[in-house]
Amino acid sequence: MPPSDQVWRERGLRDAVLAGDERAWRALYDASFDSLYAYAQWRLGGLRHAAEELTQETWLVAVRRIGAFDPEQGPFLAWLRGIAANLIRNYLRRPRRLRLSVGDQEAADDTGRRETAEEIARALAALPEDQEAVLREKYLEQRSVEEIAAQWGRSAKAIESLLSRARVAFRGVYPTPDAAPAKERK
Amino acid sequence: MTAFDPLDESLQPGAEATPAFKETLFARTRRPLRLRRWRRRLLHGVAAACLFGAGMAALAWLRPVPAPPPPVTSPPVVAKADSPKAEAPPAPQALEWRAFDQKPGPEKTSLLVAAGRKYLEEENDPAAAVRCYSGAVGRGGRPEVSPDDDWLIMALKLDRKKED
Repeated sequence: MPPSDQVWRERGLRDAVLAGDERAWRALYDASFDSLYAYAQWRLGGLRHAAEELTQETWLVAVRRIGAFDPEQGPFLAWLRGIAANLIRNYLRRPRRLRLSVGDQEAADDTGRRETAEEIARALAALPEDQEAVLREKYLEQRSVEEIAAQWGRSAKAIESLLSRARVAFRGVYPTPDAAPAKERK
Repeated sequence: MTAFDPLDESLQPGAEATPAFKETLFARTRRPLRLRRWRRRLLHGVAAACLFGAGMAALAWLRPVPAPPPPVTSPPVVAKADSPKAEAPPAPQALEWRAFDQKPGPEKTSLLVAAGRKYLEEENDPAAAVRCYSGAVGRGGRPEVSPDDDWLIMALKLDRKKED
């Protein structure tokens, strides 16, 4: 969908939601739910229950504050990701005991796995915005360097360079990827 | 051929959300939406009521104030028959009758002159005027022509003079 069409469509849906139209809300929800949930889970290092909790909180904030969404500034999903990123930062600032939601109690026994996931989440949260974005495009959205370059309107070399810096920065915060129990993540 | 990157393992996307979670969450997000819809309807209702009230107030303000009913007044009292009437000028016949009742003299002469003038000017009756004027001119003395005399009495006076 061309960006102008998307802006026009999302503005119409936003206005309809502000008028209380549930079908418009459903359209926005269906279009972004999976991507937002995947993003939350990715940003939280694969913690499923925390991702559910954060996704839920993000959508509740979104429905209350949708009047602040400006399609001219970016797509709806990007706005949702911004909310989720803020909530994740707040989540990671909480004391550990408060981070264990009811659902996560099931995984609490797997302390090692949980700690690894939280370290990944902290490492991603510590990255600058563009580095986090390029890692997201590469690993979460599974896009090639050329696709990212085309989407962002930059050269492949520039994207490769940014990706390289992002990897280094990530490893700086999360230095033991080899030791990460990635195989445990599903 | 890209080399193995341990980040590929660490940053892989996780599993998808369950449909049950998706629907439960959607149901939760509908509540604020429903509240917003009701609040919006309420606001519209209040706005419509305010507009209606303002419209009615403006209408009441713009409508011309009905004139107070005229005070009940009794019809003007018609002068009773016994109330004094304005004196109507006497008719020439009346003057002639009054002259008739008078004794000969200047009063009788002036009444006859007045009657004759009225006959001539008001009733266009020269014969009656000649009768009265003749009576006035023929009653003793030398009739003197006066600047106030009309043409008829003047002619009668001159004629009397000739006869004398």
